[in-house]
Amino acid sequence: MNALLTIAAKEVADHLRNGWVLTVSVAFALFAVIIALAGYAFTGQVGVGGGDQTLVSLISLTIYLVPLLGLLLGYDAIAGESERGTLDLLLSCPLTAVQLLLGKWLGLVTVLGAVVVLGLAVPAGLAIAHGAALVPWVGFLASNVWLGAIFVGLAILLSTVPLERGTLVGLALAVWLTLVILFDLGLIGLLVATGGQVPTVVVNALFLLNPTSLFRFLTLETLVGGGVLSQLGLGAQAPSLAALLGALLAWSVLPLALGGHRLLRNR
Amino acid sequence: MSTPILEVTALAKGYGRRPVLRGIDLRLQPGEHLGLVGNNGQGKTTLIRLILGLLRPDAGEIRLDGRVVPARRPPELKRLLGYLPEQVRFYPNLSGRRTLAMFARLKQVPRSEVERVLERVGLTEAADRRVKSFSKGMRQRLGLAQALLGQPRLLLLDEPTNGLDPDGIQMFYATLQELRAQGVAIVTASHLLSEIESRVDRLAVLHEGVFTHQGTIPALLAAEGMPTVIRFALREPRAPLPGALARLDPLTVANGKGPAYEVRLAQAQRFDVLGQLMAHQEALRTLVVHDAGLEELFRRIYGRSAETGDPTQSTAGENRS
Repeated sequence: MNALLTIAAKEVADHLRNGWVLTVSVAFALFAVIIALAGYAFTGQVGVGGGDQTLVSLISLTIYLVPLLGLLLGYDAIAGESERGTLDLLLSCPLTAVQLLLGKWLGLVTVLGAVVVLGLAVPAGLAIAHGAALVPWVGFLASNVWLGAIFVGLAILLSTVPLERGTLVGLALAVWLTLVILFDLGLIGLLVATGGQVPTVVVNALFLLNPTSLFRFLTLETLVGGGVLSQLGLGAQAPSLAALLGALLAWSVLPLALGGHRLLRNR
Repeated sequence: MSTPILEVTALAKGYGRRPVLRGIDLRLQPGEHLGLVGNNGQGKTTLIRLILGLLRPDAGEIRLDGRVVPARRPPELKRLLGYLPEQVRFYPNLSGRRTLAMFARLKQVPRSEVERVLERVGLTEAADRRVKSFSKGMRQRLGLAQALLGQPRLLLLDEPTNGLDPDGIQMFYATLQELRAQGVAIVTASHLLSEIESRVDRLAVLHEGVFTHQGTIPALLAAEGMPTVIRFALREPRAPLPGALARLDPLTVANGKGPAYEVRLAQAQRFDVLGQLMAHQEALRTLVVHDAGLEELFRRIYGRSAETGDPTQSTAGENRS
């Protein structure tokens, strides 16, 4: 097993052993089932159906939960090693800083992937049993893992900042609050304040600056039928699929590249 | 003489504008044990991290086993080194054995090595316990086991006996002694002078980023003119002193007892004086001999630099290599 996979396997084993995967998966599954059953209760419809509504309901859960899990998993990836005194030990082995970073990322994304799959398995199974198509659900799971992978990367970048873990967890929560809640509120505020006069190109550019917005657009555009965005009046505002994918790819790569650069620069 | 396992030439490193190490020269032969001493913050850990390749030097050269070390170290050069950092806590939920198995995979050494090093540090029985249940001393032993994986030729130990009980310290140095016999060179950074005094071949004193002294301990003590203090008292108040000692003034004269004296002299001269005293031992009531050791040497070096502000200012006879 090469060095990168050894680090990844250690991360997976660590999180399995300390009960993190089990605990979080159970909590995730509980939330997911509740949201799936009651997500459309305001329309008078309760229960998991075979249509898109279960998936749409779950998007509103995962868009909050998955980034949070990604950040909490990764914020001490490097800082924790440093505090334990193992960072220098690891890097004194035949292992590069880039292998360490990628190994951490791969291991933590695997952990997050397991939690996402386990957490969404019940509502997905129920929806498919009620006639929902398999492919959108597989796409939904994959896109959630991708979203999580982006936030794990952001968290790993954060963890290369030489701060104590207590401070870093605060920063991780600030990143979550900013990207998942405040960003959208700010955007809405901007549109309201300008009476909707902000040019589309500016709105699109702003959307591309936030991976959660990208994820929301991507899942609604590609996985949910019936042109949900158009129904919401956002169809014309949404960036193109290529721009969405390109921006998501950039969000996937850049934090890790910056983290690797920081780790190498400090040595 | 064989190829030095470690050669450091004109090494310099700074953080920002603050120089941490300047003009460091060092050579270490296989089987040699060097004590790297200095107060906290003098650059000991920085030097070790430079040798390990965890930091890049601003200037100078490092050679391992005769090979110039490039900025990106190939695995075979990394495998020459074993490292025990100061206070390593490892992964609380992994067992000792799994921890070592992971490092064995990273170092690309066979799994059988894990059992060998566990036995060597006396952790075989506790190896399946999670590291979070280990005492501080057990974690240090696990750290040493990790450093020994892959049979390195140069061990770099940073304050290695922190947290070890006296038995643990003895076992630790016994293990190092065996390794030296097998040709493993060792650098031990420590400020526990009394502990390493009798266990290293050579000492390098690091102060404000430069080696102020480097050499064997007797040579350093002699070069600094570190004294021997002989205190003795006579049985009778009017007993004569032998030879040159007759000119001494007594320190005290106790009631009804003979006077007490103190002689401070270079360590090389102590046997002359002791010889004279032993020739008249029937006249002695007490005799105490104290050789100034590393602690006093250290205080003198640091005291002088505090007075002069120049850490490199030293007396004649300084032994630099």
